[in-house]
Amino acid sequence: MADIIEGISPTRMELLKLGRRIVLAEKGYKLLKEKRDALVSEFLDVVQRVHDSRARASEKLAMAFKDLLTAQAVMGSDAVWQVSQVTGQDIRIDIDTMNIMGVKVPMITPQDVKRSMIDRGYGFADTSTMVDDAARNFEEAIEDVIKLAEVQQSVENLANEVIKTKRRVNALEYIVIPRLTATATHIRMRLAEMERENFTRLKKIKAAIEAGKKAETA
Amino acid sequence: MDSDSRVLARMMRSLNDHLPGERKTLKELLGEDKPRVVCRDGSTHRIRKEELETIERIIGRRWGEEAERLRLPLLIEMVPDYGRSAARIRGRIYCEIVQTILHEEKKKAIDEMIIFRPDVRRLRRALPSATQYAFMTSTS
Repeated sequence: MADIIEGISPTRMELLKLGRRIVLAEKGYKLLKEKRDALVSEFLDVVQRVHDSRARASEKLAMAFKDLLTAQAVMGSDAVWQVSQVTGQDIRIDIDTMNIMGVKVPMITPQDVKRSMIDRGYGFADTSTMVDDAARNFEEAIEDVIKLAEVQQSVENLANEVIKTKRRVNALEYIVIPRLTATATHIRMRLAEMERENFTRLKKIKAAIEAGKKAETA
Repeated sequence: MDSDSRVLARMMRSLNDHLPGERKTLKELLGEDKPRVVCRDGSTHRIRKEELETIERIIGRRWGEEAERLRLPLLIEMVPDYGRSAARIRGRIYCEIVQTILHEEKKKAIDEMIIFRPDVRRLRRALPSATQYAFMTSTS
């Protein structure tokens, strides 16, 4: 049996207060359990998205590096390096937050990462088409890597919240509610015992009074 | 109220701190460059444009002016009274959006619907930023 709350007086008033606390604790427990379940669902979905994003990013990067190696083989490493020098680009990203049940997760949106061949800035005449393929695949890979960063961070934040909520649910389920219930049971038993004691005391008093009356009449 | 109960009551109130203080209409959100709402805890919640466009596509033609009054994010109300992981969607227009996303047969317009965990997950996957969970203590 769970511990009872120390220093609580066994009165009907306390019993009523405890009843209200039990109702409140049970409501809180049910709601927190709902939150935990919802968080776990979200967490599993995001884990799946991490898995998919990682696979997609790896695939794109593998393709991009393959194209880059082919381009280097066709044009020579120096020529590819020179092309890379004229195609510098700052990657613009838009970072904001989304609030999932109190968990702030990042929302990262890359902007204009993919460019047309003209925007890349190098000449077509002296470059291989493999350079174009490599550039396109790298641009696509960057988008996937950014998406991966977003979901990876979301997983971490959600996992922390799942742990916190789980701890609260367990505290309510295994400590708070059993302790309140045990205390209420204890008070109920104590009150019943006091009632029995009172009943016996009254009987004894009555017997004593009657014995006194009999002695007076005799 | 004793300190334990106060802590518990505060915790229950904080379960819904992520909800927006004021929801914005679809029209307002579509007009913003970066659509977002301010939550009760002071943080911001960004809603993806693509999701807003999906909602607009679903309701745009059929609901006309009423669509402009649609307030977002859509609330998925978790009510323990309906059973574990059951959620309630309230409002005719919101029910229509959910029914369309879940590919449910629309026999007639309904004001309230209950969906269960697999459907909640499908809905959240389709509209992760345009929907939010709300935790309700009772059905009333």
